[in-house]
Amino acid sequence: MNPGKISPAERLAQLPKGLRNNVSDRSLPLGPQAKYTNPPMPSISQARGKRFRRSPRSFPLYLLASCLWLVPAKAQEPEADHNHDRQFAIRVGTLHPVSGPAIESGIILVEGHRISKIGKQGEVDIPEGAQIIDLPGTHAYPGFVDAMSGAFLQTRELKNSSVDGGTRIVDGLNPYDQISLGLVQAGVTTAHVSNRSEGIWRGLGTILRPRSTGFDPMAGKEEAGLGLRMTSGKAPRHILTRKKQLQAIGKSFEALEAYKEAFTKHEEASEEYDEKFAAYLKYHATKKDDEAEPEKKKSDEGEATDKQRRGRRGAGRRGGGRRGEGRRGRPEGKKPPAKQPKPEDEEKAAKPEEKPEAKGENKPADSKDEQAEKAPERPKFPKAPKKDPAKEALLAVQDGTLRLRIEAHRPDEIRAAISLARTQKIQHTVLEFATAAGAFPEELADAGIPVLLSAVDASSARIYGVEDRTTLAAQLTEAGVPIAFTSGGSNRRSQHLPMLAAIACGHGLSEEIALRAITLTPAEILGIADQVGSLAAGKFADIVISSGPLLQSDSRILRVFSGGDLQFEAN
Amino acid sequence: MRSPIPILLLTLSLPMQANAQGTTVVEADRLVLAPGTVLEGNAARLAYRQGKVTAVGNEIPAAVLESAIRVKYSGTLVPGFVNPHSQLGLSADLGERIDAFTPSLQAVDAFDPFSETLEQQVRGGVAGIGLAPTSGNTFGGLAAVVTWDGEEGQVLAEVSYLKLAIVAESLDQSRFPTSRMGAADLIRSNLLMANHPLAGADPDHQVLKDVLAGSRKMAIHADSHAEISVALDLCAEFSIAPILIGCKELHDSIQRLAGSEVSVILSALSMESKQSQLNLPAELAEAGVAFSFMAEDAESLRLSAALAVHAGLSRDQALAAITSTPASQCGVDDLLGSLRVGNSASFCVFSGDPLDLTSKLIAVHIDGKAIALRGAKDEAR
Repeated sequence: MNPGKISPAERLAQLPKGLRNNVSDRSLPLGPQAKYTNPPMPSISQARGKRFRRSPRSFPLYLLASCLWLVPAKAQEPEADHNHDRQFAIRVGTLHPVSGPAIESGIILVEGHRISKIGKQGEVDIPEGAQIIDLPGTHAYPGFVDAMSGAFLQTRELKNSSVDGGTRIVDGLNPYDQISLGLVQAGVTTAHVSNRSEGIWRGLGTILRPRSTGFDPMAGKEEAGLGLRMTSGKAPRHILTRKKQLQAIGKSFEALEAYKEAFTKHEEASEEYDEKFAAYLKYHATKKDDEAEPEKKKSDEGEATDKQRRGRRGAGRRGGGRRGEGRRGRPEGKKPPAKQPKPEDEEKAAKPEEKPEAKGENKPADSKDEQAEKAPERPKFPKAPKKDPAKEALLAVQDGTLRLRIEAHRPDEIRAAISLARTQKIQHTVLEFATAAGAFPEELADAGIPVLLSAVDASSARIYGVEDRTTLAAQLTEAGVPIAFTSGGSNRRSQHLPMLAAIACGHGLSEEIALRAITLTPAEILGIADQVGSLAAGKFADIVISSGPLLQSDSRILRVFSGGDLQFEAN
Repeated sequence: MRSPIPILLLTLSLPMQANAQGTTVVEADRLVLAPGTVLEGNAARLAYRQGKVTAVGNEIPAAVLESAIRVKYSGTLVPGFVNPHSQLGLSADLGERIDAFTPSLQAVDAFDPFSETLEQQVRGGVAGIGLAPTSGNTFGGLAAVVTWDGEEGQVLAEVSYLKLAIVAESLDQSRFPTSRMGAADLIRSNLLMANHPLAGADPDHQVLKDVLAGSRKMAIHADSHAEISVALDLCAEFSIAPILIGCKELHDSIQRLAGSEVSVILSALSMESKQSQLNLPAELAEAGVAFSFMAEDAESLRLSAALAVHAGLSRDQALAAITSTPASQCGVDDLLGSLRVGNSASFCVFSGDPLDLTSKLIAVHIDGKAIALRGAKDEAR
């Protein structure tokens, strides 16, 4: 081998594998070394029938390899896998489980994302290899649940008039909203995000878990509640105007019956159609066999009819198969129908124009003894009713899958909400604000409707005709109505949930109920009390570590864990 | 025993007696005379007579203790709050927008002694309110300090500080000044004129003379950073140590205030306030600048102090911001803001520390007289 001169075989070997096939190096000797020569270019007519490969043979392999990068993004924490087995213990000064009495010198055992055990230090065995976090003198609380939050909402969503009952709020969230990113620092580990739009129906709220870098939707709770605005707002309006509005809302439910019926009818009609069509086909297939006439039709049309028929069985909406069927049904010798039916018009039902012809033509040919009865009619394809997401949401509310969240302030609005829940037999109704409910809390208690409060601080402004909103929490609790303190849609207020609880205590609520109202009670109201809301074995490890008792003004939040992951650490 | 009639009369006239002749000694679990001065245990008592504090703690003579009417509260007793700047719902009457230069107008002339806002503030624990002209004028006028005695409003000080404003609200397109530049010129030219020996002895410039001489305080409402800078520059030109009102964007100018006599009246903090505003009190305290809070109702005042504590301010300084500091800013620190001997016996009692929002307001006394709390029926102690 001459140094400096590369032999053709070597040069060939240096080329990437795919190119070797197409190398048109005329210097390549044609011999046993050069196994691959440039294949001759086929002519156009030859290419038509054959497959002409321009790309290297291994191209499909490369394509597949490049597609392996397209791993579907997971909604849950991507570190789920390698954090699943971690174990650690947190030792605190006082443990406030909320679902039980406070524990001095408490310890929390975390396994993976969940709490495995809580108890007193010394009474709980720490597993081998578990990391121990020592935080003496601190107070541990469950992560807060904000049941009426505006976290990560885009502001234009609030005024969007096209929001209706079917709008999914989870689809319009912005994970980079700066103020919302401070939520988890303030201890809020679960939030129900809903819209405060001006329309009557406010879209489908979602439950999510804020993080320091965004949020995770809560599994299975992407659509958690349907919002309904049953108030005319702060501006005073005549009671008769309000009454008309409230009645109009009740009417939304009346259309549901007809909607459901349309779907059941369609189902029945579809079944019927399937049966009848099978009979129709069978009749004409047997008829065709009997007549033993070869059908003259173009090959692609035949393929088309087969495909269309198959397509109809599967998708059920193509009406173009009539072309072939019509032909099949007609006995040989008769002239084809006068006009060609239009191809695939999905919205139109099957036109019966061919039917009379087919019927008429079938009659004289009907000479068999077995088929003494008239040929079955070509059944009409049933038109599928259109799914309305707003109505679907209302149906889910009636089933109990979704919660109905009603904002009502004045007494007549609140009473209209209660009567709506009763007459429509809605399983889970939640009242938002209920500003004037202090005068008749027992009505809410009888209806079993919980209340989400926000404005518990005194204000000299007489809003919604109520002078003093400070005693509302205490009055509702006394009557047995579950209450929760929420941010009311304000992200800044979300960061002061313990202060809301403290203010309510100052106006007569017990500290225990006030603390529960930012943790376990909102979890129960949202239907997620099995996952969050208290420090209990089996729930998510959402833990807030505070330097002192939470309701004291000078207590600072030191650490926040969400699902066992440390989301905030104070410096 | 002698005839029971004198004793009966004595008992029947107890409420009036408490003010008129006898001494009352009030006891609590904790007694805060001034932020930083706390009496506890047996020493937590205070004696007052005719609405003025006569003795505190262990200095109360035993004879007085025996003969006095004893009132016991279980909770923390603090001096009544002072709200240094409020319009008490009378904004229409307190703004004379036609002329931007009206320093001699007195807010006390627009005072409504039966105002509902006044009653509600006092029932919430505020012992003194600085009734100030609105910020619709560059030179608004002279503020007053008022209170409520249970029946009607009382004036504690007819003239207090001179209110100025350089916020956008004070600029009116229908008269001069229409811009901040014009407002600064108005302030400067009038202060120069006040110094001039040939300046007329008209009441407006007389007020400015007092300010320049240092016998009257001047308060300027400025919110944005630019407004605050202009205000401070103007005052530095004339060696005036102003009170800054509002100051939402003060964080850039804190270093400039450190070491000066400038004090600040911060607008009320709420749960909707920005984090920079919530951090202001702690930063001001660190720089050694005196500050207080203003609000439109008593609960907002307390909430502001609590939010400041939550953001890192010490409890003593937060209490000072709603008691002693605003009292000295309004010039009534010989009456309100602390419970020293000779001060007015205006205090409120909470079930716990007033800066913890879990504490409930139990009692309010103005000049020794018990005031019914909001929602409670009026009763003679």
